[in-house]
This record gives sequence, structure tokens and C-alpha cells, in this order.
Amino acid sequence: MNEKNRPESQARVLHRLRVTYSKLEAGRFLSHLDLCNLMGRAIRRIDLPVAFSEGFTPRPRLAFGPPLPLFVEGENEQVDIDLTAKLDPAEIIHRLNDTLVEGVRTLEASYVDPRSPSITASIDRAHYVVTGREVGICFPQTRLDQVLASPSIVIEKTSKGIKKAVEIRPSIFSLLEIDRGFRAVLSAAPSRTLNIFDLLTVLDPGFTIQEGFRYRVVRSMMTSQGT
Amino acid sequence: MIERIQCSIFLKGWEGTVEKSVSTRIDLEPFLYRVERPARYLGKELNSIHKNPADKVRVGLCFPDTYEVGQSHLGLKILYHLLNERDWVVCERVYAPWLDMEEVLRNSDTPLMTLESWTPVRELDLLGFSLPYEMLYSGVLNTLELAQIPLQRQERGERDPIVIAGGPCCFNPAPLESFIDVFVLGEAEESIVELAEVSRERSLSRGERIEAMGKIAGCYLGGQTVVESHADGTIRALIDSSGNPAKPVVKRVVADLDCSYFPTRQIVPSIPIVHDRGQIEIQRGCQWGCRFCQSGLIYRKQREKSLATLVRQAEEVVRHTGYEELGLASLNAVDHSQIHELIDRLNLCFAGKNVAIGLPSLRMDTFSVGLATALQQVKKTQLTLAPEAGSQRLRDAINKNLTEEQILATVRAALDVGWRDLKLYFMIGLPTETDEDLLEMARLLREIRGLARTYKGRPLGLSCSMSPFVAKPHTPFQWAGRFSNEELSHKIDVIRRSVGRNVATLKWRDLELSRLEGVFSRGDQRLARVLMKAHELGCKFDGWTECFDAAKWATAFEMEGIDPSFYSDRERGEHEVFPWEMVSAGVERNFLWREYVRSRDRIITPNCTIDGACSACGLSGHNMGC
Repeated sequence: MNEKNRPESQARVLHRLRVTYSKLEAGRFLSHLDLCNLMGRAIRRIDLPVAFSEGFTPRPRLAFGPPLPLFVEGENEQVDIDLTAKLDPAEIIHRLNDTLVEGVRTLEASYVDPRSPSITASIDRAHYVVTGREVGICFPQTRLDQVLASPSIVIEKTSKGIKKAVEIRPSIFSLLEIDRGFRAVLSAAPSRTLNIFDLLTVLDPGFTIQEGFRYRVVRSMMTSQGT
Repeated sequence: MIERIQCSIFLKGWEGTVEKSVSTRIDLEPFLYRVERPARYLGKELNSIHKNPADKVRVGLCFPDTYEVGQSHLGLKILYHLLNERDWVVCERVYAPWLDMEEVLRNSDTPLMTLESWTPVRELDLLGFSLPYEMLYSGVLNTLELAQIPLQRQERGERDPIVIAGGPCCFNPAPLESFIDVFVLGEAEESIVELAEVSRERSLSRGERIEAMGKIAGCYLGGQTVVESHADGTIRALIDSSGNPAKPVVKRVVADLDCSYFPTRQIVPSIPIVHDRGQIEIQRGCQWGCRFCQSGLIYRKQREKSLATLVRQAEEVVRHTGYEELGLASLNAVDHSQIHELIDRLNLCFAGKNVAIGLPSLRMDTFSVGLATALQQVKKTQLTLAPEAGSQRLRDAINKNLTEEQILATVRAALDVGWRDLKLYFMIGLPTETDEDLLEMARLLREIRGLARTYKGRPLGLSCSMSPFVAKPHTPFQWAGRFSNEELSHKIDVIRRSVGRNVATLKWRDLELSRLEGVFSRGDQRLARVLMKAHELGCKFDGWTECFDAAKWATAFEMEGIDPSFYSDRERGEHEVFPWEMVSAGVERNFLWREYVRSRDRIITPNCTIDGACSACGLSGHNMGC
């Protein structure tokens, strides 16, 4: 769109607050869309001067990082909130935490340049920690190294009822054994995102999401190749 | 004051202070990986109330359908918070688990749990079902079974909860009498607290408590009435326990709605639900007297809340919930004497916050351009209008008090301010309906389509939904017959043929389902057997197209040797005793009969609150604010 034709409200300077939050425990049962809705409502409850999208159903201008899959906890997730007034980030965090649903907590916030890249554009790797809830679960490093040594790993995915073979090896960056589980660094680049549960089916054949409670799955942070 | 304890802290404290026999928490989390939408079962939504149950009366309020449907119900929201305001009560919610969760529960022999604390429903003191429509009956039985509570009232033991039921369906308790201990008639804001108080009397046995509940005004005990029948299955008399003709139990009403309790710290579900919005109740009751409408008669007399109360409650609801939409609940919003002022005030109040105001029900005749415009300032959605019947003759017969000029003027007003999506709601199969009435309805739809052509902009989206008429107890049409499903199919054909393509999208409700609703609506105590059989055959979620199984229901009727048309289709004689006459909505049978006769003569009975002429419905004899 031609810059001159933009409505004035969009062209005006906004304050972009980048908020880090966690979605733990009960929060893993909420979908990404649920999170978007409840964040928008929390913002309205505390009367935050948020910018709204244009159109007949204006929505608070929120831009989330890559969605967390259902059943995965997140320790350091991010969302950008566009504000029309610059308020103290610490105060905002405090007020949000007073009103957020159990399982979702904001951790820190700071203003970023609205012209800087979006959260999604600034990260490409997701770090996961998978631990068994039962004793006896373990992923020996030798097994993890086997996976890393494979030149190719193809899994079958069903999308919209159509089965498709997907090469996932290039999306796995590292696998490390820990007590009762493992750490994984996986691709979070748009075309190469690997769902952690798909990796689990490779490492634990016979695993299905119905038995998902066996593992606690946490996305501990998101990084870019450079960091 | 409401205790609000963070769940994690609460659980720690609870294990330490509560005896095991009081509540056994079951960990649902492993199950949540095996079901669709696990957040349905979490129970940790914003503003949900978590209390330590020690030494408290434990009440469960159940809507026997899914979380998304049940959580939308305003009546239960009111009672949930009202009970929890008392420090001696803990009230939790119970919904029907969806099929996948039901399977998980049954396979692991896990009893149904309350939403908040994940403790077995069978450990409650009181379990209350809300029954706004008959298609929930199979859900009541399934819920009891999943909760591992004996289905038959008489088989329950000392430790089982006392099972109560409220809502419009209780105005005919007969089909459920074998399963429900106490029916609560009318508005339950006061009676529910009185019932909880009786449950507080720990020295009383279960039977004694039920007996005490039967003495509470507006409460009817299952099995309180003995039915004497004629050979043809109709009723000779309803007899009470002392052998006398049963004296009707009369409904309760809230005398002062403006001062009545209303929760503004409403629960905000974490997942989308059917009515996903904050709600305020602007008015209760409706005085127009449509002859098919049960709500209009059982919620008499019409009462409204003051502007000041409503603005305060609206502001509080939005502040406590953060909802982007606020619904103004009532049977007919435009009857509120200050509806325009209210909308202006709310628009002012929420300016810049992008809060949409929704009016769920609008009557066409008094709906004004001003109101439409005021609402449109925030958000423009589909506008639903209910002419109910297509011809003037039939609208007069049902006492709709609505002319075709008024309908067209309303549509014009909506088009003027830019609405491009209209939904029209009609009933088909109304008493005395002929093909001519249906042709009139098709003509009306074409007329509206024609009107829209003169407006610029996006073409009009016009949809027309048709529901087969179902006769309800305590209405003038309680005597009326019902057309057979073959006749109703023919009626739909007539409309489809004559509406023509590109005029309107036609939708209609399942005919078998509406017939079943009709059976239970005017059913008697014998239907308990059919309901039990249908439950055994696996009937549940009858309101869901994907679950409703007409063949199973047909088998249930056949196996019990009961002819459904005896209940749904038969026109009743003037003096026939109805199965529901042991309860009363305060409206006299004489009045209803007069109205039935007037409907056949197409005589309109004016709205007594507008025209001032009393139609002698009988309410004034009951101290119900009339």
C-alpha cells in the first residue's frame, strides 16, 4: 500500500512493547488461539492503552512468536503489544500478572523499535527439554547420537487427511541426554519447523499423543542462529 | 465474601485439612491428552471459584450438555456466584463430558467429577440440573450414570446427593419424576439458598432433608403426586399423598429484579463457547402473550432493571472479564422502558474500548431505526428478526401483534443503516396453518428480497430458519394438535418450491427431533420408562445432530409399548386433565383456554402493560408483582 494512502491512525507512532511470558502447567492445555483471546481480554481488564486493528471488528494489536503446540509448556515465550502511550513496563507486567489465568505469567517487558523485525522473523531455533514423568524413562546419548548421525529421517504426517512423507533430519540441530530425558534444539524457521512430538515418535517408537502425559515437554527458549 | 485461593496453594492446604472421606481428588491430567479440547475439563478459568470444601455444604450445578453450551447459560451463572457468596457453601460446576471423555472415564471406571476441584460428583450434598429444553433429558440420565449415582430416585442411599432440577422444563415434572428428588419451580435465586440451608442440617437423614425441601415454597418432590388414569391413557385425577386432589405448587418469582443478586465477576472461559460474551440481564419476563411461547407465561410478570443498575453492572462485567462483547439479556430488549438511553450510556461508557453491545432478541414492531443505529456504532453483525408466522391470519392466531407493514418497515430501517445480513425466524406447523399461510410466507421473503434491491452496496444475505411448532405446557396451545412429520415435510416442500432460488437460504430443524421434544414437553410419568430405555440404548446429546438417533428412540417407544403420537400429535379436549397440573406458573387454566379459543377466532389479546387492559391471566391472585 502506498504510504500516503494509509489511514492516519496506522501511520502514527506506536510504542511496541515486547513481553516475555511463560505458559506452564495448566497453560499447556490452552491452544495458541485461546492464548491470543485471553491475552486480549487481560489487556482490556487492566485498561492498557492498546492500539486496535482497523476494520469492523477491531482487535488489540498483538503479534506473537511461533505458537506453542498444545501440551507443550513454554518458559520464555514472546509477544509484541502495540501501545498508544508509553507506560512503565514493570507496572504493566505487575498488572497483567494480577489478572492472567492460572498457567500464564508475564516475566519481563521492554520497548523495541516498531520498525525492527518481528519476533517470528528474529528467531529460528527452539530449545526443548523433554523429561519422563515415570521412573525408568531414559534416552541414552548413544541413541540420540544415532539419530544425529542419520543422513535422513523421514516421518509420515497426515495433513487434511492426506498422508505425506516429511524429511525432518535437517530440522534437528542437537540432542543431549539429561536425567530421565533429553534436550533438543530444533528448527523454528517457518518452512522447517519440527513439532517436538514428531521427534518423540522417532525416539520412542509406539509413542502417541494419547500417552502424552508420560513426558513433560517444555520449550525453554527461542534463539536465532547468530546467538 | 468469596474465597479466592490460587489452585496450587489450595491443593496443598486441602490435603492437610480435609478428611479423605469428604473429597477425593482425581488427577484428570493424563486423560486430557486423549480428548478434543482438553481445556473444557480444566476448570481453572478466570473468575472461577475454588474453595476449601471442609465443613461446607457442597453443591454442584449441572448443565447436562457440553461445557461450551452449559457455560453459556445465564441462569446457572447467577446461581453459581450467588451460592458461592455464602461462606458456608461451595458451589462447583458439572457439565456432560463429550463422547471421547466419556469413553475415557468409562474405560477407567472413573466417576464424573466437578469442574473446579476434580472431585466425584457423587460426593456432593446437592446436585442441581438446569433444564431449559427437553432434549437434555437423556443427558440427565447419562450424567447420573457417569457420576455413579443411582438413576432412580428411590434407589438412592444416604450418601448420594439430593438431585434437584430447575428451569422451564420443570413446569412439567412428570416425565422426570422417577429421577429427580426435588423440582424447583420458577426463579431459583431464593429457593436455591433455602435448599442449601436444609442440606446444612447434618442431623437430618437424607429422607428428612428431602421432606423439608418439599415444604419450601415452589419446590415439588418427585413422586409427590399419584396419577389416576382412564382406560385410554388420559388422566382422571392427580392425587396428593393424603388422597385429596393435588393442590398445585406455585412457582417462585424475584419480586424486585433491580435489587436482586447479579454476578459481575463472571467466569471467562479459556476456550470459545457458544455465547462467548459478558452478560447483563436487563429485564425478565415478557408480557406480549404470544400463544405458543412458554417463556412469556412462566416468567410473568415482566420486570426491568433500572438504568443506573444496568450501567453499573455493565461497567463491572467488562472490567472484571475484559470481554469484547456485552450481551443485554432479556426476552425482548426493546420493551425496556429506557433501552435507548441504556445503549447511549453504554456506548459512552465503552468508547475507545471496542466493546460491542449485543441484543439477542428484538421484537420487530417496536424495533426502531434509532436503536439499530446506536448499536451499529460499535459493530454490525447479523440481525435476527422473528416474524414467527408468514401470514397475517396466522400471526393473529398466535397473538404476535405484528403487521406486515411493521415487518417491512423494520427491514427497511435495518437496510437504511447498512445491515446486509438478515436472518428471519419462522415456525411451521402452527395450529390451523394451511398451505395458503406458507405461500404468504414465501411471498414475504420475496418482498424483502425485492426491497433490498433498491439499496446500493453488498447484496442482502437473507436466511430463513424454520422450526416445527412444539406445544408447551402452561400455554394456550397446550391443547393443540400437531401435524404429522409427513404433513410437515409437505409444508417445507411448499415453501421451498414457492420461495424460489436466490431469494433466501432455507434451513429447518429436524422433524423427528422436534416431535420428540413435543412428546416430552407434554409427557406424563409413563415416559420415564421410555427415557430409561433410550438411555440404555445409548441415547445422549440429543440436541446434537451428529448424536441424535431417531431410530433408537423409536425402538425405545416400541419396546415400552408407548405410542409417541399420543403425547405429541393429539389435540386435547377442553376438560382433559394434564400431567403437569400439580405445578402452576400462576397463570390460570381458564385464561389459557380463553386464549386458545381466541386463537381459533384470530382475535388478538393486547399487551396488558401497554394497553392497560387486564386480560385476567390469573397472576394478580398470586402476589407476583402484578
